[in-house]
Amino acid sequence: MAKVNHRIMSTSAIKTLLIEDNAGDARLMAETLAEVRDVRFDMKCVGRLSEGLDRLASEEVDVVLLDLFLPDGQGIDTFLRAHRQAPEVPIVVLTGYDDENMAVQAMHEGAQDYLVKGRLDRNLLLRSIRYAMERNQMLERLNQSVRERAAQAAELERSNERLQELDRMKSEFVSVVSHELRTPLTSIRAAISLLGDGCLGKLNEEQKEYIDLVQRNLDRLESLVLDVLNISRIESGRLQIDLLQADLRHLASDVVQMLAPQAKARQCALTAGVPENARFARCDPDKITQVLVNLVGNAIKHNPERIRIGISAARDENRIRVTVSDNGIGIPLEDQPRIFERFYQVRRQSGGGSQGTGLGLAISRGLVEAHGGKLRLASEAGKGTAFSFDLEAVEVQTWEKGRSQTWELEGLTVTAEQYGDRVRLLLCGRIEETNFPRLTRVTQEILERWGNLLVIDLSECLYMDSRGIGHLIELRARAAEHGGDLAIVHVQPRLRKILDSLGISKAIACHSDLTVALGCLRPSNPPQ
Amino acid sequence: MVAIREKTILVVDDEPDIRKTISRLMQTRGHGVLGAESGREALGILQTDVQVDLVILDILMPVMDGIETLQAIRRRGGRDLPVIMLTARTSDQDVLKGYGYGADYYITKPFKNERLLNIVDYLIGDLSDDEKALLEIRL
Repeated sequence: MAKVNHRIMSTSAIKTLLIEDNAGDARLMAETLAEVRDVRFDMKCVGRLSEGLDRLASEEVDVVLLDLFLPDGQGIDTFLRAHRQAPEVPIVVLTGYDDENMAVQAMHEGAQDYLVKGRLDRNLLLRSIRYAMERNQMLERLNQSVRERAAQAAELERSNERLQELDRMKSEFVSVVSHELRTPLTSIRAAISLLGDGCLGKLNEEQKEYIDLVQRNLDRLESLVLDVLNISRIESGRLQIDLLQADLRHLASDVVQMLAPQAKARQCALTAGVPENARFARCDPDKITQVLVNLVGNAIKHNPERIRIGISAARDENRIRVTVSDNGIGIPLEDQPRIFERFYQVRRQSGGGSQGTGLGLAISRGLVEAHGGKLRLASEAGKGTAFSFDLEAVEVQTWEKGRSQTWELEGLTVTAEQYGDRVRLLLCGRIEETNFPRLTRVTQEILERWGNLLVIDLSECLYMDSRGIGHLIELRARAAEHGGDLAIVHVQPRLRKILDSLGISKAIACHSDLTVALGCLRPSNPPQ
Repeated sequence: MVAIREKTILVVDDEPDIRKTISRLMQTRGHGVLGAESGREALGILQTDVQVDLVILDILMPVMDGIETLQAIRRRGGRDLPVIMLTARTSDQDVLKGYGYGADYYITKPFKNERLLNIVDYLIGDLSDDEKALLEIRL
């Protein structure tokens, strides 16, 4: 295009292709152009469109003057064929008096200009050709820039994909490394415990002290590996949240119980207060427990001794605000924006105690955000700190007890109680190979006659091995056959962990509270 | 401390250090220990006349992994042989696989020695129901 520009401005000839079948018109055009003084035209004239197309294909042409009515091309189609042959060459359409409309149509399709034959003069023709070439050139530049933008966009798209791929690789790398770290950690843990337990010979006080030191640091290393795994799961979006109706009063008192030894060691008063109207929330109980343990643990670790720490919940319309507050030293204003960052730790002289991994708050925030909430901080130096987040409140129905019946099986007593469309099945004794077939029959009867929403109460059940767990899973499948559901209450911590890890806690709710479990069940769909 | 008749435990792990420490730990309870560094080797031992009372089986192993080995044990009639699975992976899918194929327990690495010992006592110790129930709470 620079070449064309050069020709317009300089004296080199403009290569003009005239496609015109009327010899008189062609001669007139040639004579008109010859009169132009300051610009030279190198004009070729052909009488048929096919010849014109051949020339466009084989020669360099700066501008085309095109008659729309040729022996082998009629009307707008003439223009379209020429334009298609050489889209980069500007075309000025030549028309008679009567067909200006068609010329306008050609301009819509991309012709640069039109001239009405018989109204031609030298200046008009020259101006039209010049404008045609310049407009075409501008259009070409515009197209060029559009193409460049598109290329840039494609390049951006590609680098974005590369970044996503890198991010995925980073998460995968972190995950693999964390797993790989566990193998040597296992050997170290097992070996050091053998030494520490005195299995390999009695230790003196100093040897014990150093083995304790190794074990404490091993604990730290293990929790760091676990935290890194957690954060990589959160950041890669692989975190799985199982939303259940959870009893916050229960969760909070669990956390208080869990952290009581640490609180006591630093003479902190740790309490939980959850009012009745803020008890039940829709959340993943394990994840929220983890958040509360992190927040309370931080309050114990990063404050002087003898402070008060409280877990509380308050109802606000359909939300429940959960707060962990303390009356400790507070977090300085300048540190507040950064404390949720990974590995960021507030520097302070007092506090002492064991240091955390610096990932706890980042993980807690990730877990709260996975529930659709936000972890907020309110803190004033010297007064204390409060972290809070909102959960969705759920209404839990109260259940009236109806009829009940008892079956005696071998080593297992089954008592069924009806609560509306739900049935509580209290198992007393132990589920075994010998009584399982009869238990299945009893369950079948209950599913058919009493209702298909079962809450299995294990509070009176003796220990259960993996086969017993298998039986529970089978009962759940039976309930599903009847379009029903099954929940389990009063499970031992170990069993609960197994049921959770089997990934069936979504359908089998592990609660100690019968009311919650009754409410957890999916609505009943009567069998067809 | 509960009295335990000596039993034979087969420890299957491709990491020699883990085989060594677990073996030593089991010996403190008076159990005899056999080691195997792959699932294939373990199956070989189980086919001999040696009486094995419990298997501690790592999941991530080259050649034949723990899940395949467990399936093979159950398929070859070792239906009641107690098996404890060990793994560094905690994801639900792995746990599900372990129990689905009939593992009795599943322990994630790193584990506490006491926990492994409790589970072993629970599975092959000569315990009364009450003692078992008590131990159950600690598992």
